[in-house]
Amino acid sequence: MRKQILIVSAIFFFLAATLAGVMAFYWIGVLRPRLQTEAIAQAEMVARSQANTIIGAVRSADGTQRVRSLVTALDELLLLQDAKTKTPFFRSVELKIDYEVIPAEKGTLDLRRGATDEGGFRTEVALYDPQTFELIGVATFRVSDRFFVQLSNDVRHELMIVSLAVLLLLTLVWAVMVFLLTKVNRQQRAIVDQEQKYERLVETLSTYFIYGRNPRGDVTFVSDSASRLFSMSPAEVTARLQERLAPPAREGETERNYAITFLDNDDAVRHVEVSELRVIGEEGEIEAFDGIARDVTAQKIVEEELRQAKDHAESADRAKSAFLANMSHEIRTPLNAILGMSALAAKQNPSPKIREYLGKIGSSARLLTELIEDILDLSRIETGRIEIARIDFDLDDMLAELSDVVGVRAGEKNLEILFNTAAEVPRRLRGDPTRLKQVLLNLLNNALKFTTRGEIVIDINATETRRDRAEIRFSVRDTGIGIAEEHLPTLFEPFTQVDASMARRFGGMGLGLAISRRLVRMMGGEMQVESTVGVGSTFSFSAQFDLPRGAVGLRRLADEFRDLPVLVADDNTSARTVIANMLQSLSCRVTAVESGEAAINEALRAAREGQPYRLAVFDWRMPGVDGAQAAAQLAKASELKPHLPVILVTAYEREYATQRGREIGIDAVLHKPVSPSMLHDAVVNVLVPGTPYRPRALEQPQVQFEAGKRVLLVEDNEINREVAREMLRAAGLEVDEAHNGYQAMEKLASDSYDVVLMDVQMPELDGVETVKAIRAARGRFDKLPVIAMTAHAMLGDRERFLEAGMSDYIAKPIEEKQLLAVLGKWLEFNSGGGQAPSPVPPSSDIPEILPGLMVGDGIRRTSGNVALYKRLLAEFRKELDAEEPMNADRLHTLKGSSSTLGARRVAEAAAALEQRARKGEPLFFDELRDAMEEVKQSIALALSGAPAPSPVQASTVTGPELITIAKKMDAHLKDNNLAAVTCFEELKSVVGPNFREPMQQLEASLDKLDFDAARAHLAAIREALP
Amino acid sequence: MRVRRFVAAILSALAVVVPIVADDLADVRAQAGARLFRAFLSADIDVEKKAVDNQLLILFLYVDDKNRAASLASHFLGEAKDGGTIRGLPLSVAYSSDATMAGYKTKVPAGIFLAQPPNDATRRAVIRYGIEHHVIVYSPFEGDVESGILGGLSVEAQVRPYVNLSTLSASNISLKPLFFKVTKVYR
Repeated sequence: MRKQILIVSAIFFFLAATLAGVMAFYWIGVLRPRLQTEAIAQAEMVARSQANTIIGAVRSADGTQRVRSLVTALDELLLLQDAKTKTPFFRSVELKIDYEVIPAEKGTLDLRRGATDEGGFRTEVALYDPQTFELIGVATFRVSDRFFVQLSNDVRHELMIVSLAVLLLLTLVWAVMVFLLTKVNRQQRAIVDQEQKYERLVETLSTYFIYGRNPRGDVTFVSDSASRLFSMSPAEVTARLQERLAPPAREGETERNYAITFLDNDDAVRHVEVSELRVIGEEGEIEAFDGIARDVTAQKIVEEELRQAKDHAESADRAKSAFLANMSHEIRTPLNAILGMSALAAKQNPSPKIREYLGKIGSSARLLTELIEDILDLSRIETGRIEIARIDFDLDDMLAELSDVVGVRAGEKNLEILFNTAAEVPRRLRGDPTRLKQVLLNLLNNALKFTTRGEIVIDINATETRRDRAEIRFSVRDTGIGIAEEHLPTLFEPFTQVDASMARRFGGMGLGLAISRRLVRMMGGEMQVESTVGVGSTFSFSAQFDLPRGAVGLRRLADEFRDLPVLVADDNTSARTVIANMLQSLSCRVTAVESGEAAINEALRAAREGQPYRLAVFDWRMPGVDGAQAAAQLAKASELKPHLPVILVTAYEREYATQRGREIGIDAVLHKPVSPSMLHDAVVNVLVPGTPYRPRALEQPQVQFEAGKRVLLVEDNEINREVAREMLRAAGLEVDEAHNGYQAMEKLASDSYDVVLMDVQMPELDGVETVKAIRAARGRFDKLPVIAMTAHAMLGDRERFLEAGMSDYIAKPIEEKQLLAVLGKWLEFNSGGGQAPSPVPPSSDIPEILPGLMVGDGIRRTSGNVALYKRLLAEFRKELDAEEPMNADRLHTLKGSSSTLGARRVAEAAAALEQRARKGEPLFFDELRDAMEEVKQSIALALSGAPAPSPVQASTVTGPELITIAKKMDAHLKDNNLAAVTCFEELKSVVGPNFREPMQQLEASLDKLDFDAARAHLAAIREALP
Repeated sequence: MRVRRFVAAILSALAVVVPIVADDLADVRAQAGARLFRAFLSADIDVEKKAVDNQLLILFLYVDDKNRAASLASHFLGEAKDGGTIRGLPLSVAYSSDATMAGYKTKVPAGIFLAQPPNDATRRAVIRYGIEHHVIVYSPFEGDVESGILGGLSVEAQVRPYVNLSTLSASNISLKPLFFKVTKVYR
């Protein structure tokens, strides 16, 4: 390109130089001489015209007269000038006379007139005698050249202007040509670069080649890279392609992608992926086909290896699952034997040493059982056999349950546990409360394990709240031993302990955090930890929850108690702050002090100033004057009229605190950790004297609907039907039943109902289709509430069912409280106020928890009807034994029954299998079979006990001794220590006959070494103690 | 037909007029040349020595048209009745068509005027004669000076004498220096 521009520039320079040269030559060599010649000719003519005047003067006279006449004539000649320019024609005139012809003295007539210089055109004019035509002289004229000079200058200027114009034009043309050349060259270079790039790509990429085909499909071109790629000649490659390529793309098909295979010269299979495009000509006709191909042989080999590896891995995973299931079953059986035998041996009055050994054997066996449960839990999470439920629950209730579990142990260790729930956290959530509780319990247990003094704070905040969703962040902060930074990265790995000495000192296999982290991830969050050795640790995680429609907002006191002045006293800053915050979120006006003395002074001061506090919340144990003493002093203070109600909060010695509180007239005792709902209930009970204070554990939803209300229960699962029926009848509703959608339609056509409870998944006509049919019958059923019941508690299901025509939604397994709450939205409660306290807590002869069977959950779902629960268990056992094929429907039924009865492991296994069955994926029944075997054993155990429950009767025995024994026994039970048996014997000797039945149940649990059940029975006995 | 006749008439008229115009121009040139021939003769420094019988003999050489020669001679002689004088010597005019100049071997004229364009042979003969006899040979026709004729006229912006310097030198004729000031020289 540079060369072309240089050539063009040189040509233009040459042209310009030539032009300049031609112009110069034309001026100097042609035009100027011609002008000069013309000018001289003009000068000669002008001078010639004056010859006669001079000849006349020469011949006019003789002597002096002639000279004078001649001078006059010459001077007049010099006067002649151009009329326009006023330029004289002649500059000078000089005469040479031939004195041989003119008779005069020689030289007298040789005159010169005018300028003396040599300017102008010199022209000589012959002076002939007019008579003889002899030459009488010569007149030499200097004719003015001014006109010529002016004319030549003008002409030269014109010539230069024309030349410059031409030069300018040339320059312009040169510039345009250079520009066009540059542009064209750039485009050509871009095209060349593009082509080179394309060729380089094709030639360099080791697995690609390109080819071309004519419209008939014949291969016309194959790039060289193909030959290198396949080690074949171009002709061989062309032939192979010609043979294997598909026919060209049809009309309307612009691109075609497919794979071909062929054998190379070594008879090896080569896999090639081709992409072909049509090349369309200007007339719209197909000109050719361009193709790019890629040799994917290596990739295919890797894929095949990966597939085989995956098969192997899946096979190994199945083997591992089978091993785990077997291990679970095979290990737990001898473990049960070990536990049982060691317990039996302990009853044979062994020596103290042997008893101690037996106790350690039992503890170790229980530890092993827990470990196996954890391993199975982790295995189920990792294999996706655990799903996160989405059911409505009350966060405060869950925290209260958590408080019950960890409160005692915290009290034993003199640790303070605080629930610090931010005001904006929604109370009602939809999610999996069991899994959430499992995670929090694990973190709290860890915190309790590693903290010897100080406090454990559970902070709960809403990090994001939308109309229908919320992200809640939980953090468990302790003041324990802390974790070194180098151990943090592996903290959540399974079977990882901070170090071996920790494992020895604190026990555990390091599975809890691994399970917790996985559960948190399943709840849409991530778990983090921050820790400083010697300062403490904070484990935090967030979880996603749906917000139920019409979810209850913040718990607040009635308007009459708004801005209630409350005095808080606690020496622990954190506890003081948390209690104060909770009260403020209940709309109280709080003043917090750090000691009993300060509390007394503040209460008296306020009373004196006429602004008495209306409620006090004191920590029981404070240095100096403790909370109880402060309350006692205030009760005696005459300034405080009326009496200042006091709630005593304590982390220690529950029984003593409760008893002591009653003795000194404390209005309520709250055991730490205090949840917002516990505080709310306690405040309400204290402020409204007519509302007796009830321990939370005794609460039961006793709802009565208006008489005569009819419910159509549409459910295919018999057990579920029975459970729901029992709940509905207990709530005063008339129940009619249908087993599927068709029956439901018939019943609706012939009878009238106030509400329909509709199972979603049923044989023949499912719930969604049924409700569509109901809604299609316009007019009659427009306002009939149809409530969906389903285990499809996944995100988006609720909206799907509502769109189909359902009025509301209940997640399975159905909880009585939840069912009645939903029904309450559609049916009127009776005029009695709906909720009444239940004096009878659920109680049974069956342990609260059996392997694979959450008995407590199941009994709760039967409204505490243990007999019904046992009957349902018997039916369930038949269902388990039925030799029907395990198809999706059977699995669905199994899932529903097991879930309702608390057979959670069976429910989870059946749910996972049902999901796979509906997707047509292969099914592996190991886990389900194992779970079924386990639950069958548990059912057998449950059904072998005494059939009828009886309420615990109050004992006549009183006194701290009995409480102390019970407390000691509970501690031993908790540690799986068989010393609990000794305590039992002590307890048995001091309690009265009123406790016979509960004590029998407790003994039975001990005999079975079911320490959890034993603790539950012991707790019931302790509650009933005076 | 009428158009053809009209065109033919135009062409005929042109055929007649164009030669006439050309002849007229040649005549004018010849007449101006005849007058300038006197200036040549009077510029000859030795013209008095070339008198024959105390007269200056001037020969008008023609080819076939003596009238033309006579007409030019009258222009040469001018308005004077006797034809005037040159350096006081009377003029005698003769006419001849003999290029060999057989009749003028002894009676040598002071000047020869070519009244009609000579052919090459005539021109060569007259030139040789002029050189041998130191006679001014004068031709008013274009190209003759360049062909060796001693004198002629140059018609440009002004009518000037035209001298072949070689022939002049060969003829051993001296002209006045002043004459050369107004003369065009062919070397």
